[in-house]
Amino acid sequence: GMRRSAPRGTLRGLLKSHKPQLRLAAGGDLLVHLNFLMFLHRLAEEARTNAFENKSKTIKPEHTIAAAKVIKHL
Amino acid sequence: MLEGPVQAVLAPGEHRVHNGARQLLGSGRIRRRGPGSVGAASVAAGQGEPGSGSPGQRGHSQARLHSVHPRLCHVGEPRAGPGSPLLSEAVAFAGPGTGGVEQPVLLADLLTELGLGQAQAADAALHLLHLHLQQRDDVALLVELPQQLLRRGARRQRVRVVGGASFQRTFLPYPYRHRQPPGPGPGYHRRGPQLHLHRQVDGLHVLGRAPCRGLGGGAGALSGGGGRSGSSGGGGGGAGAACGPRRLALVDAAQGEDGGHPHQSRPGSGRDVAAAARRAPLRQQPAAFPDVDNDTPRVLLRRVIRNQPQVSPLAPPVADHKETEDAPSEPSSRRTSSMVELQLPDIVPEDTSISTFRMTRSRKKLSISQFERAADKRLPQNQAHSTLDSTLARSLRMSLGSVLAPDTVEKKGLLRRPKNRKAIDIAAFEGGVEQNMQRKAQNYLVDLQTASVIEAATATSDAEIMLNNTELFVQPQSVEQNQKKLSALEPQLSESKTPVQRSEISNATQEEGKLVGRVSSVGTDEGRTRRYSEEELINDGEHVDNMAHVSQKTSANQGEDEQGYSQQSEPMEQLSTSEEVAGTINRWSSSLPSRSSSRSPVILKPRRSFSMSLREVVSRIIEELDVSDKEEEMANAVNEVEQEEISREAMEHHTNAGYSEHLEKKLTEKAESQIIMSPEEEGVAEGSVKHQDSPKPEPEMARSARAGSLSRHSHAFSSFEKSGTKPSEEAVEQADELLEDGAVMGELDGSEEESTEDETEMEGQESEEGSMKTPTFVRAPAYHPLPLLSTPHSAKPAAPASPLQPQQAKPVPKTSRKSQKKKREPALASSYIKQIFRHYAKMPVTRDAYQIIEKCCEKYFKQLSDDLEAYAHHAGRKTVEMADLELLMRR
Repeated sequence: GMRRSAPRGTLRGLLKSHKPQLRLAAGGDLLVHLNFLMFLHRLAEEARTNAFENKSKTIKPEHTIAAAKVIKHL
Repeated sequence: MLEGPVQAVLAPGEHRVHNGARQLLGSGRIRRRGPGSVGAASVAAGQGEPGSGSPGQRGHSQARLHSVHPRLCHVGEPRAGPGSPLLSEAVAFAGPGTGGVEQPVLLADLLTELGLGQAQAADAALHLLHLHLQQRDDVALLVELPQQLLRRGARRQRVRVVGGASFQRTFLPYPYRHRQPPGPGPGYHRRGPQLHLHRQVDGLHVLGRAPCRGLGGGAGALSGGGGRSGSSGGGGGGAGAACGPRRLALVDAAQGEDGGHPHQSRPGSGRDVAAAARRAPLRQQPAAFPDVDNDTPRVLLRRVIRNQPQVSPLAPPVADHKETEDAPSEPSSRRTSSMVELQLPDIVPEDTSISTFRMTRSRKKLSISQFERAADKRLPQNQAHSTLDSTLARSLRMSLGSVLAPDTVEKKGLLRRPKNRKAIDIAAFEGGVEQNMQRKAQNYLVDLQTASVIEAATATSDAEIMLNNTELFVQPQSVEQNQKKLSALEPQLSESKTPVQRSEISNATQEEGKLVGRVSSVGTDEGRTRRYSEEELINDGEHVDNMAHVSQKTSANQGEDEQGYSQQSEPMEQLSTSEEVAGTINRWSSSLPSRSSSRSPVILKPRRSFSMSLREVVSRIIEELDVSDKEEEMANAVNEVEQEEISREAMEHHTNAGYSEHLEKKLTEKAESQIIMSPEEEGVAEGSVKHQDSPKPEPEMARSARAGSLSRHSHAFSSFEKSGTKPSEEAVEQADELLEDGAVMGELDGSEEESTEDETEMEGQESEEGSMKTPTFVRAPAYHPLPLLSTPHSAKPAAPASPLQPQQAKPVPKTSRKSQKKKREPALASSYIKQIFRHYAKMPVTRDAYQIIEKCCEKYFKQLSDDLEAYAHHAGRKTVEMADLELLMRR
């Protein structure tokens, strides 16, 4: 299963590494984590769909790549 | 009006009747309306009868008239007209007139005499006839009488009406009859199977219908037409008033139609009338079965056209065409037919096309989802397959390069290797040619230098690579190295005993300044060194001369050979020369036998070939010098070489000057048992290869290097070569070279004296000083022993490979240390990502896919941070608030 708590410290550090001058509000990192989970969810779903279409039982890198292309973020 | 003709009709007959009619009329005039008409009619009838010639007839006629009279009265009364009573009387007269044929005419004459006017009289006669015929059902009369009356001038209309009415009455079955009194007209278009008004032919309009074609076609039509006309004439007075206008309308239309048939003659009027009668109602009622005989082609076509659209549901306009084109008839009918035909074929293809279209549509619709998916797969795969691959590959490579940099420095090393190797291989060809030339010259030297030879074959390749690498690396540093080496040499020279070294150094500097193909020179030097080595083994003094010789020769050779390797050889030569000098100087200072002197130049010059040949030479040396003191030395030298090699590697990896100093110290400190260090060398070499960041290999390698430094000059050769080859790979290895030089210096010194600790310590001190002052120069000699190490290191493939890896990996861990620290700290746990993704995917995920996921996550976070920054900046804030995040999530 998944963890119970979000790695807040890690998230803050990650954000700091990208944008050291940027600050984050109190509960902001939690929302960031939420957004991240949703993103992963989207990616997983898309990759899963691709794998199904490919009649594959496992998600392969190409499925993931295709999924990433679809998601507008990337 | 109608009454008048009715009366006239009613009173057709002979003169008597005429007279009677006159009387009637006269009496009727007095009393036109009301029963007076009746009386007049009766009178007329009575008169008419006697006029007929037979009192019986009269009576009969009177009786008829009387019988008819009430009808006339009924008919005439609603439309009381001037002549209605007269007409009724006339009718009464005509009724009994069995001579029906004549009577109408007579009656008409009578009526005319009465003053009705010929037309009216004729009409009246017609009406009478109609009435008469109603009772008598005499078709012939119906046909002929109207004609006669028409001659008289009876209006066609009335004739028609009469004829139609009479016809109807005569022919129509019972149920229709009682409908007819109101008028045949309305009945025409009301009842389908009833008679239809046909076109009039010369005044006769006959309504013909399907069931009564046979009869109606001929007489019936005529009679019907006549009756109708007559009835229409008398319809106003006699037949229903409401039917009048309709009849008139029908009649008018019929008249209009008939107008277009001048060709039709009376004799044929029967048919025409029937046809006309048929045509007329065509508008109002659907035509009966086509009468081939009587119907005109126009009519037939019309029927066809009419029927066609009924059959084909896809040609609604055809019916319209048919209706509108009645006048043009044939051409229009043909057109319509053609239209229909065309429409039919049009429809057919339309249907097919539509069907196909629908099919395709449906097909498309069915397969859209699949097609889209397939297209998405195929198109990006096919069209942009290359681009996808390229972009993906690039992105992956980029990501791999960036992402994996902190994680796998070794990969970078691996990645780098092929690059260098490729570039090198090209040069390797060129170098291999001369290397072969030099091998022979080197063989003897290597034999002297190295004792233990294990796997020359395997080492050769590595040595080549090492040499190649060293060449590339040496290029940028050659000048500096040479300068440093020269400067380092100078202090050493000052320490050295022989001033010859200075000259040699000066010569070496001159030589170093020249970028010449050194391979050949090296080859020649090797050859000389061989000889010299032999000699040097014996005399040290000769060594000096040889050194001078060598230096001179090297300079000469350098001047001679320029092309050879050019870029690759130059650094080699530079280093070789520098190393040569350093080696020679070191040897001099250490007062080593000719070995070092001989070895150093040999090692210095042909690095590639040296490494190549060293191993071969080592093997030969082992074979040749099985029994000699040098074996031990060689063994030691091998070990030292190995150690030096390792130490050199370690030093190369760490480009810090401090490290070099540290290494030097360690080298000097740990120059004890070479054998002990040898097992450590392997582990150190491997550790240095694999380990990226930790400075552990450094001290280890330094130790091994120092232990190697204790070895004799035989090691110095390989170490020199090694040191020369390794730094060629990376520009950052200058410091390494410095370290190595320093270490090798110490090693050389120690090896020369064959003293372990003391010598190394002294040499270490010297080397330290040298390294402090002239790190590059100090390194230069260090390179020489290291290459030697490479040859005996054949047993350890990792060792020759390790110099490449550590060389490549050294700068990487150095540069990425800080970045690694930075990035690794906040890096999201990959296991965490894996966990989440697996949970969401609910499917097994390949490991490679996780790499991509990780890459995607990093991209995502970058984007995320950029977006949040943009949002915050847009809001004039430096802190990302909840509102920004909400906005982000709303996208």
